[in-house]
Amino acid sequence: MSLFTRLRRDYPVLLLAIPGLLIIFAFHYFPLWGNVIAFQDYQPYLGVGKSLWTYLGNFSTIVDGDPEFLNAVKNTLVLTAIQTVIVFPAPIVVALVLHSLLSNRIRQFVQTVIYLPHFMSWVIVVAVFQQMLGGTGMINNWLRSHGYDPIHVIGNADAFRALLTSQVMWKDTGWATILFLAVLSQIDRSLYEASAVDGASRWKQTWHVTLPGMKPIIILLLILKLGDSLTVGFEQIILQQSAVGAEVSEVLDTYVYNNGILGGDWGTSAAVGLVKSVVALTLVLGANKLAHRLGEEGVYRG
Amino acid sequence: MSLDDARLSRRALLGGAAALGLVACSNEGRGGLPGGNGGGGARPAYMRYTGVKPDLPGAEYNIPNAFIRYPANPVEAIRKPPGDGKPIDVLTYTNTPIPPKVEQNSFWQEFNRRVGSPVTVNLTPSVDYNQKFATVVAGDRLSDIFLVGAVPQVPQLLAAKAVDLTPHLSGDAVKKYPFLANLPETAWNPCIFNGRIFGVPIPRGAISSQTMYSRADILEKVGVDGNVKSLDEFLELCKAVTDKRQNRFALAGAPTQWVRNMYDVPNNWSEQGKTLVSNLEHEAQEEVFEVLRKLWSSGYIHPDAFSGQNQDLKVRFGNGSSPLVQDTYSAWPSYLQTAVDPAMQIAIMTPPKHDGSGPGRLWRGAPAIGFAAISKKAAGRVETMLAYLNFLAAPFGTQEYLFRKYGLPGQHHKVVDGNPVLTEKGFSEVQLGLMYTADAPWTIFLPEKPGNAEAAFTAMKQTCPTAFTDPVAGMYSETNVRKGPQLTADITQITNDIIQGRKPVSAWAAAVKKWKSGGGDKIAEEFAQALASSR
Repeated sequence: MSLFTRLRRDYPVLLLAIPGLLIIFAFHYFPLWGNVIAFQDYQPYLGVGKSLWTYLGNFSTIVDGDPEFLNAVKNTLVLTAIQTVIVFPAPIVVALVLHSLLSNRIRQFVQTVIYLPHFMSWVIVVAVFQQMLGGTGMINNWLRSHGYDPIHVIGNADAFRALLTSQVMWKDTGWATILFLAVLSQIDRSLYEASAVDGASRWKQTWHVTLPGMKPIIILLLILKLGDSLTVGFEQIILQQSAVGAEVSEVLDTYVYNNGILGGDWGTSAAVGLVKSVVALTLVLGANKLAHRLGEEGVYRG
Repeated sequence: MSLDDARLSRRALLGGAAALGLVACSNEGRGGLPGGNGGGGARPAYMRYTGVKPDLPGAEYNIPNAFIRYPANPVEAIRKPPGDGKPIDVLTYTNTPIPPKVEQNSFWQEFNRRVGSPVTVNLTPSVDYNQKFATVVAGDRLSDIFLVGAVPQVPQLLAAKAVDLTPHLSGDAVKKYPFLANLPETAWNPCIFNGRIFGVPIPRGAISSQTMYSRADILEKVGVDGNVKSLDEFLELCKAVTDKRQNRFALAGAPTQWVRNMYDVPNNWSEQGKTLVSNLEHEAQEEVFEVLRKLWSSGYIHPDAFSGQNQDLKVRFGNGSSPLVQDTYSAWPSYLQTAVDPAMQIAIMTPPKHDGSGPGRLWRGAPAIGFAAISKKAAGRVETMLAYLNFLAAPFGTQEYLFRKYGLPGQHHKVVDGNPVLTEKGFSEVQLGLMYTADAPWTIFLPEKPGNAEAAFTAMKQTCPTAFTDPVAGMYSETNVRKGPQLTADITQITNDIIQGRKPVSAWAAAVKKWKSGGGDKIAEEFAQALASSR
């Protein structure tokens, strides 16, 4: 079929796609143009049109290894590792546990409770944690008034990563569970029945039926996660940064904000952000390719 | 011409594109203006307002005047409303809770009526203002009138985005706005760049010196004397006042500056011959840190001191969970107005020398705490904007001042002994950030509690004349403007790290070295030049 006949046949559908495409263009492709800042000594009051060009000068921070930048990279990678190893699998485990619950009512109740925190903004979540665990939070006030030593969590640099991780898990685990639960309900019941007839235990059923059934969605989400793996939670961290200091809390996103928007070094920050995006893109494409090699579908067929 | 000639060849097209690229990538015609020096050039004339006679005159001590009573029958100083009927949009900060929206705010409605224009304010807590300002500049959403935040390259920013007010304010031109002419001459320094006037200062001076407030009622209950004579006495007092079982901690925040005052550390810069030396290099700094670390590790400082916001200090002091707080003299009214405990008594604790050999020395506040500029977008309405700022600078003793600070009688304040005292409704509604948009020279007036105005005046009379003055306050250094905010942030970071024990005291020397090589030395040099040329 020639392009023309296809266009004639499909044009109502294509027209329907136009508003969506416009939005994608306006909010995803058009802003990419701003990356020219990475090659300038950008000053917001001058704008892109009047700022001086520095060409590749801004990238020297990355190449030369500015200690603050390296510190941000280190923290980002540590948090990425924690989030991939601990935070990512958590909803899978929760979904499996919920799925195995017999009572529908309990399951729905638990589900509702654990995904409520997702709807709170980070400011509220951080405030809740501070009111509970802070130096004069509920727990510590109680401890002190009963003559015990207070526990030092908020503002303790050593506990900061654990604190961040528990906040993320508290807020988003329940929400992420929904997707896995949906997949679980799609697994063919007859597979369970067949394996039960063959004498498989619950554990063996999970291992040989449930997990293989979930594999495509797990791989899909993991690849998507890799895409923003270097984005480890800007808002959450910036809100708590003053309490623990930059040493443990500076990540690439806060570095870009502190150094660029507040420090006025826009060019370098844009360069860092650009490199971060390139790395993320490479990770996604690489992981997708790997998934294809292993015979999985990945994000798209390529 | 044949059709063939008109068609571009591929080569020509590529060549053209390359040429375009080159043009686009050359730096010709780019970049902002170079920064300039603060001093010299145009200055507004000074014309003092002489409408009222103070109860306690402070001129002799270079401190604000104090009034025990608001003058009876205040004069109407401005006849014609400054507004032009069109909205006036303001961006500034606040140190008090955000007021109710204009629909529910009778003060705001009356204020708009008196101004003659609907005024919208965009308020941010003062601790977050620089961040807010940086993002607003980045998004090019500056309001008609904006308080200039500490961002890099202020002069270039102003040259590009703010109206040059020189024709309206220099020399006798300012007399058209008599209450702007009433602002002290030194307060104008930070608004003048390259000999051009780019803003209207918010004058403060001695009143914005940091001092230590104490809850005299709590100290009395515990049975300690707030009049400490040495560092040891201060530590003992902190120990006596701290009661962990009641969740009471002596200090609301780390009293960094007040401890420095005990060691006679100078105010930012000190002159040594022809050069300037930063107080960061002062030999007592490490001892100061030892004291602060002791205060922190002993639990005398509120445990959330480093994780909260500025306003929490006021809450902690007000509810008695921290009976000591370091703050400026100008904060006194807001402590009285936010008091929850009617038994609250405020006193000032003056710093002693650490070894007990006499009184310590405060740091005198800068002549201006900032300045408001007018956006180029409002260039056509400059006179209205200046008239509005003039309206906000109406001095103590006028009807305008009374209304601006205390609203309407019966609604926002009640009259006690002839003095206006804000009601709860009044306190919540009048907080439009007006005192951080433009203000008259400060007047000590504390009608909320009898005796407080005298106490504040006496404390200032005692501490301010001997206070260290920053020799280069309001002067201009290119490097300071460009790198200062980042350098200061680094120093604040290391200060907090050391106080909380995350880094050893010995890390200070390295941080100062980094500060010097990262721009500190250059700043000192430039300030020294500015200072020399100002004499």
